[in-house]
Amino acid sequence: MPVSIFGAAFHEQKLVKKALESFYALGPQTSARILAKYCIHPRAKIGTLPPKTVTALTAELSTMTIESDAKKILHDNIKRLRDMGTYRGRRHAMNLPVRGQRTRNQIETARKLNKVERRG
Amino acid sequence: MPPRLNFWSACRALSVRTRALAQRPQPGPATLARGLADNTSSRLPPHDRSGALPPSMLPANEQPTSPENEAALNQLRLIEYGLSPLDPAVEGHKYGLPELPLPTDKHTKHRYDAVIQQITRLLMKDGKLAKAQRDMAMILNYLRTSPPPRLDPSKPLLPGAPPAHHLPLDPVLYLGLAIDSVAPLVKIRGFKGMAGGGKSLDVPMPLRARQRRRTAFLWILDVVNRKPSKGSGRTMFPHRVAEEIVAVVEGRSGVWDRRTQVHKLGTANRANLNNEYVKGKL
Amino acid sequence: MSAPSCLRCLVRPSAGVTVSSLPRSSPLAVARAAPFSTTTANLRPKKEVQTGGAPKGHVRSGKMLQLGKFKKGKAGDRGRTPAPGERKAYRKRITLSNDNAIPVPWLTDLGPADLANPANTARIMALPTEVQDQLRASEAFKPTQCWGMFRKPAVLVRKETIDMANRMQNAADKRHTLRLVVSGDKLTGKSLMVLQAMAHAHLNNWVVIHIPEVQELTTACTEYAPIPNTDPVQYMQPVYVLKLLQAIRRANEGVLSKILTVSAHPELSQSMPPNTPLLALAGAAKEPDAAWPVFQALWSELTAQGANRPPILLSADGLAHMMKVSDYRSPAFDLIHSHDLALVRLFADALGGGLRLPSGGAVIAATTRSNAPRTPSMELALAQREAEANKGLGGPSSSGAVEVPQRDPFFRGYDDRVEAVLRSVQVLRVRGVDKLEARALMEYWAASGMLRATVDEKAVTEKWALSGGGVPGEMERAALLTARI
Repeated sequence: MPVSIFGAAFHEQKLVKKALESFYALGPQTSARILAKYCIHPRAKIGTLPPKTVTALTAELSTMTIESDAKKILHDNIKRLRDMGTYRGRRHAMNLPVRGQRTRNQIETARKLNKVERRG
Repeated sequence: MPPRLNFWSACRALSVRTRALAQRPQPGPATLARGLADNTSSRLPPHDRSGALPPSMLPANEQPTSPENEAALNQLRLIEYGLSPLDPAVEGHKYGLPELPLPTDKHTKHRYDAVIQQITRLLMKDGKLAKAQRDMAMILNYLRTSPPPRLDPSKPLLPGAPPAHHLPLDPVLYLGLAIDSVAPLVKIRGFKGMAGGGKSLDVPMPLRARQRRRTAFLWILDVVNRKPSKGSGRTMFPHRVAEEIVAVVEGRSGVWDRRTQVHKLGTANRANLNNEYVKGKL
Repeated sequence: MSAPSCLRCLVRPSAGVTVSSLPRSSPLAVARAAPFSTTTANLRPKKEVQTGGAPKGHVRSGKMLQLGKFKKGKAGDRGRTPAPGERKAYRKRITLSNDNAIPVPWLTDLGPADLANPANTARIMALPTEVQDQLRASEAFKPTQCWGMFRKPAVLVRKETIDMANRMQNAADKRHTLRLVVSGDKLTGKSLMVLQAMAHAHLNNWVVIHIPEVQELTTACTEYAPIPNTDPVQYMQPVYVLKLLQAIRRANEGVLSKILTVSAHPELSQSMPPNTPLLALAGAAKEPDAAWPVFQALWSELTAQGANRPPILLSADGLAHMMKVSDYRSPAFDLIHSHDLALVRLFADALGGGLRLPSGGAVIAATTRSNAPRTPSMELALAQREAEANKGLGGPSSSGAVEVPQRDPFFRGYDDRVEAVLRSVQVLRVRGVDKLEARALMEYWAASGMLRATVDEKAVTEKWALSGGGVPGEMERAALLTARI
C-alpha cells in the first residue's frame, strides 16, 4: 500500500531519507535534519512510519520552499538575467555554458540543461 | 692498522698482570666435539678436571655439585670449546627430527591437497586468493554438513570410490571424487582447413589429470554462474558451488551431459588421428 | 570544411549542430515547422513516445549510454526472487547439529555445578537441549561459529570459564553483583565466554537478559523516540525492546512463570493485578509502543526489594558500541550519547555499579575485535583495571613493575561518562588455551570425525604453535577447517 507524503506516493519499502530527497531542492543535509526533528532513524522505511508522523512530515514539507517554489525561484533568476540582456542570460537561452567554459567539446550538460525555463 | 701500533694497546701491554692468563683449551677435544655433532649419544668430549677449565672459573675448594650445577658447568665448558650449548645438534630434540623426505603437504606453498590447491586458484577472481580460500573452506564445510549423497547408478563415480555415507566425513575426497568423475578424458582440437572446404578437422586429444580437472571445474563454474542465488553475504557463492558438487555426485548435474557429448565427439572423430597432416603435427 | 567560426552567432558549427537548426528564437522555429506539419504527422511521434515510455522498462531506457557494438543479452528468467528478509534469514540461519558427525560417546551434558567445578578444566561438555533452546532464543549462537559441524553443541570448559563461573556463583551467594568485562584478542573466545556464562545462569535458574549485538542499538538502525518527562532526555527503542522482551520470554519461560508480581502497574494499558506471573507481564507488550513501559515494569519487578527474586544475568556482546556516541540524532540535530539511550543506560548503570541487583547476579559484557569502533576511554579504562588487578596480585614487591596507564594529556577524545562506568569493573582477559585444553579440543574434533589425524603430543603442539599460542579460533583454522576460512 503506497504512502502519500506531500502529494507523492511512495512504496512502503522505500527509505524515508530517499523519499524526502526525491523532492526538488531537498538534499541530504535537509533530509537528515528533518529526520532528526521527527526522531526517525536514517534507515527507516516508509512503511514503518506511524500515520501521525506522515502527516507531520507533509506539514513540514509544505512550509519549505521545495519543488515548484524552488523551481520558480530558479526560473525567475534566469529570466531576470535574460530580461536584463546579460551575457549569462543569453548563454542560458542558447543552451551553452554560462561560466566561461570552452565550447569546443564536452558541453553536453549545458546543452541538456541550460535554458530559460530550466528543468533542474 | 695493526693493533700493535695502537697507543692504548701498547699501554695495556705494559700494565702489570695481576692474574695468570687463562689457559687456552687443548684444540683436540673441541675439534672432536664438532666432529661428533651428529652423534647425539655422546655429547661431550671426555674431560679431565685438571686442564680443561680455566683456574679462574673453578671454585677455590671442591664443593659437592648438584646435577643442575653440573649441567651449567657442562654448558660453560661447551662455550669454552667454541660450541653453542643450545645448539640442537648438541642438545637433542624435543620431538625428534622430521623424517626425510618431507611429506608433500609440509611445504608452505603446497600445504593443501593438490585438487584443493588447483580448485582454489580456479575459484579466484581478481587475484584475491584469500577470498578464494575462504570460499573453498565454506564449500568443504557445506559438503561436511550436507546429508550423504544418493548415488545414481547410471552416472557412476570413479571405480574404488568409498560408499556414499563416508563422503561427508572426508570433504576433500568428496570434492576430488566429484571433479575427477565428471572430468573428460579428451578434448577436441580443431585442425584448420584440413577437412576440405575450409572446415576444420576435429581430432580428439588426451588430457593430463590437471587439465581434466580444470575442464571439469570450469564446466561446473559455468553452471554455478547461471544459477540464481538464494542467500546473501559470504556464503552465497560457495554454497552454490557446493550444491552443484553434490548434484554432480548424485548425477543430477548437466555437467555429465557435457562430458558425454565430448566423449561421443571424440569417439566419432578418432579416425582423424590417422590423417597424415595431423600425424605430422602431433 | 565549413568556416571555423560563424560571425553572426557565437556557436562554432559542428557535426551535431547545423547553423540552420540553431534556435535563434523560439517563434521562428515554430513558424518554420508549421507549414510541413499535418495533424497525423504530429500525432505519430507522440504515439511513439507513449509506447517507448511504457512503465515496463528502465526509467532511463533510450537515454542510457551504450558502449560497445553489441547489446547485452537479456538475463534469463531467474525464477522467483526471494521475498524481503528471506536472504537475510538464510544468512543468519544457525545450524546446531550435523548428522554426518560421529556422536562422541564420552560427551556428557552440563550440569548446574559443572562450569564452576575445577575438576572439569579442559573437558568438552555438551549443552543440554533445553539450554540450547534458551540460548538460541536469546541469540547467543552466531553464524560464524562452528556449531554446525558437530553432532550436538558442546563447549570447552577453560580455566577462565571456571574462574568466571565461580565469581558468578560467589556473587549470587552473597547477593552481590559481579561486574565483569571479558576482553581479549581476536578469536580468543570472548563471545563464547559470554555464552558459557549464560549457560551457567540458565542451568542455575537465573534470569538471563542478553543483548546479542550492541551495535544494533547504537548504529541508528532501529527506531527511537524520546521518553517524556526525562531530564536530560532519554530515548527508548521500542522495536528493539519488543524483540528483547520476546527473547526474554522465550529464554526464561520456566523461571519467569514461577515468579509473581508484587505490585500493580497502573501505568500499563493492560491491568496487571499483583501475583501475576512475570511471564504474563513480559507478554503484555504486543505493540512496539507498549514495549518500553512493559520492560520497565518487568525490570522493577525483577529487582524488587525483599521479594526473593532469582539472580539476574545481564550480558552483552560488543561493549565498544555501548561506550561511544551513538549515530542517532536528537531533534536539535546533536548526536546522542549511547548512555542517553534508555536500554543502554540501564546496562551501563548496572555495569558501573549504579544500579544494584538486590538478589545478586552478574553483569557481563564482552568486547569485540571485529567491527568495533575505536573507544580510547574504554581501552584506557580496561587497561587500567587490568594493571590494578595485576598489581594487587603481585603484592607490594612488584608494585613498581606494573605501571597503571594514564591518560594521554595531549589527546582530546576521552569520554568521562565511559570512564565513570568502567571505574570499578573487573576485567577478565581471555588468552589462548593451554596445551591441555588444546588437546581436549583436538580430541573432540577427532572423535567427531571432523579432524582426520592422530592426536598426539606432537600434533597438539604443532597446532598450538601454529595458532599463535592456542588461540582457539586460529586452532580451528589450522586444524578443523581444511583451508583457512
